[in-house]
Amino acid sequence: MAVGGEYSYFIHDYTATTNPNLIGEMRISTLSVQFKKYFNYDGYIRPFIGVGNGYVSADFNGPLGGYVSGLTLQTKAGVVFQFNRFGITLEYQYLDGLDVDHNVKEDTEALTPTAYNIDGYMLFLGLRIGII
Amino acid sequence: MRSGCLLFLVFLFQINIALADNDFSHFIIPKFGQYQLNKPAQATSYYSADGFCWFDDNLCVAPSDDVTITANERSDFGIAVEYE
Repeated sequence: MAVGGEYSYFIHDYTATTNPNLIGEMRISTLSVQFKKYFNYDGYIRPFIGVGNGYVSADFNGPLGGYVSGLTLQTKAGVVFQFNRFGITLEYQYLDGLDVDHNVKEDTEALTPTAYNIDGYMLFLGLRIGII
Repeated sequence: MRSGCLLFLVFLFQINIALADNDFSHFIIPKFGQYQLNKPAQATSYYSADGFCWFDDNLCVAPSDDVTITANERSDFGIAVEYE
């Protein structure tokens, strides 16, 4: 079992599926506590499953704008190829925002967002380095 | 084999393949009037039968539909610390 923390940052363009003319940019940050269960712990190839819980925020600009934040639940699975101090990790992750709240910018038109849903699937390739 | 380490630093980079790309973050903003529209400079707005619009009908949002936003291009990364 491993415990830790994770920060991730996403920036990308968006398009409203109901109207492709609504195009803008979103920036999403997550900060969470992570728990992972590794299998085949003594081997080079270590599959793992994990969960995370923390905070997500999203700031989006363009025709649709605003700032939302809330709790997030992450589930993940992957594999680490560990060679002594260095490892390569491949991780598939699902992120679901829970109870996401909002903060309306004051300098925009007075339309109040009341509910948002943030979720997504991510596939990561990474480098895992033993430091202590 | 065991690494001999207890604390790990992990750098994560998004792989942009179909498995992860199209279903990434989206917002579902329910109902017209419950979200925020940024007003472009010099823009005029009006209500139409189809919703709330900037300039013309090409920037309308229907009053009765959820608005779902999907990602197009992305630049993602993460960093994690793990203690075994």
